[in-house]
Amino acid sequence: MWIGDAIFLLVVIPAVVIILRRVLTPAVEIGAYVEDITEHGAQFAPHLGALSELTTTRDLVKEVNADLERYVRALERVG
Amino acid sequence: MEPAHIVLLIAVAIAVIAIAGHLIAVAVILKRVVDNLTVVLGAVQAVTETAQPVGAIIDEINRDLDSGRKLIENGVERLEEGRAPVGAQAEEPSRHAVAESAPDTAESAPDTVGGGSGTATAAPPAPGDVDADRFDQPAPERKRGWFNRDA
Repeated sequence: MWIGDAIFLLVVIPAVVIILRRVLTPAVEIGAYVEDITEHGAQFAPHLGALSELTTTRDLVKEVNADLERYVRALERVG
Repeated sequence: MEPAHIVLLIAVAIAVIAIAGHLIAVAVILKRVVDNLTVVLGAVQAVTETAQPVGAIIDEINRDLDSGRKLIENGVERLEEGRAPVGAQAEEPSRHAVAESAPDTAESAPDTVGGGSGTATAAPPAPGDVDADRFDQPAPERKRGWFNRDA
């Protein structure tokens, strides 16, 4: 009986702890990576705020085209 | 109960506590991972919704810019066709413009009048009886014009 206790205490429990450590260590690393992703991924959206200005750019380009057409016609009248 | 049984129970309790502690730690980490991934997923969805119409808008901007470029090219071509003679003269710069752009070189030029800025070229005068013998020998390089004639 004592031999079984000794094997359980000196072999089985350390083996279980080692195996659980090998599960826990990657989980901790995954947690750190995910926190890093969250920290930098949350900054992703504000950097794309200028995309909403593209509609203004499109409208301004249309206005420039109309003015450009008038300008070219005026130049042709002058020339 | 024998002492060996008590030791066994203690060992089993230690093993159970170790397993439970590790599993709880893993569960806590996975819960935090799920929360963070939910935040990231929301941000990615927001980015996707923001960037979804960008392609169409950029295509429209490119079409407008292309039509503007063609408009300018056509206008410039028509203007160049209408002003072709003037453009042909403008391609060869006049000597007057050259003299104005470089007045110091105009002073050293042999056949410029006045030697200053805004000079004009002058044709040599018709030879008279006095200069008739000068045509028999080649004229010196810097004495060709009437304004360089020795007194």
